[in-house]
Amino acid sequence: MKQKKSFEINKKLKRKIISVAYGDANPLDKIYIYWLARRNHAIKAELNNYQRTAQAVHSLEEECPEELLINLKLQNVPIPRTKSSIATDFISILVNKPVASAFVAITLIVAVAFSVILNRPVQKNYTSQEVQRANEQASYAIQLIGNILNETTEKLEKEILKEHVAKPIDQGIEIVNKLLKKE
Amino acid sequence: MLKEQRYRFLVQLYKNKIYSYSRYMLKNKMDADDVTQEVMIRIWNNMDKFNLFAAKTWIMKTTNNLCIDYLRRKTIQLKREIEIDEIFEETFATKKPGDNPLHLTHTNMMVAKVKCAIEKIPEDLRSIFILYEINGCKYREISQTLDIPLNTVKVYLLRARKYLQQELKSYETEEIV
Repeated sequence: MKQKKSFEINKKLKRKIISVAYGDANPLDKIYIYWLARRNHAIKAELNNYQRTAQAVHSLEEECPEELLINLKLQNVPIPRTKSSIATDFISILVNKPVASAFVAITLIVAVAFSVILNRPVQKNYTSQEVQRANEQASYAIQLIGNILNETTEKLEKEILKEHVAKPIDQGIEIVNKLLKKE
Repeated sequence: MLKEQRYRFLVQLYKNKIYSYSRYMLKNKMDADDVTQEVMIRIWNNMDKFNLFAAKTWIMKTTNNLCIDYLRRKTIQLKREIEIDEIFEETFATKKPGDNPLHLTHTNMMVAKVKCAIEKIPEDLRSIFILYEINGCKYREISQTLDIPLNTVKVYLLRARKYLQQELKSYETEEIV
């Protein structure tokens, strides 16, 4: 039959129990105390008592009354803003939690570095044959455009302007001359 | 302009810590109000003397020194009378709809008991206890604020925790009697 060992709560053990209850013990001590508490009712009761007290203590921060800040004006001191802004919160994190701000900075640098590496433009190396072929195709296309423009100019000069513009103007002038002669 | 912005930032950051420390050290709301205001005025007058990142120690040191001055001046009898009325108000004044009344009462009673017990801790232990447990200062910061060695801070903190537990046990015993 297993017998539970009885543990005497000496000064050293009590110090560990108190540290665990208030949340500032090292991990090894935490594991040890919780293990002991499972095996011994006295230790468990002591730990629970201290934990209850610690919980109540940690909820005790008093809020500074706003009228105190307003009264500062009488002493020619600027009235501090009563509501915190995003900027104030950000700066307070930088000041009070350098680990958090360092972590954010490192994450940003890594993210930027990764995006630069992943989005690097891919350089293709073309062969001389491919370059020559591209040149030939480009010159052919330019030639085609040139031919089209020449044909358009010819048609404009020889047909459109001659037949459809100049001729009607000449005919109109002839009619006018005839009319003037008759008079 | 920059001075004002820095001042506003510091006050926003530390006003609750200053007030909490004063409140629990002086056990009196009026004195705590006076000390808090005085500290804020001193911060404004000394803005050029410290940098933003090292302000916490200076501010808490100033608050501690002012509290000690007040404690030496005021009488204990007057503080006790005011203390009882305030605890009564704090325990029973707040009520939110939808709260379990039994749980709320039990929590409020526990908090009131703890506040009372903290005020009975000896001054030298109490200052360290408040700075560590309520204001969230680190050992090194407390050591610099109060000008005491680091090991002394740890020892005093342990003593304060034990003292508080002992006070709460005697409350329970008195209730039973």
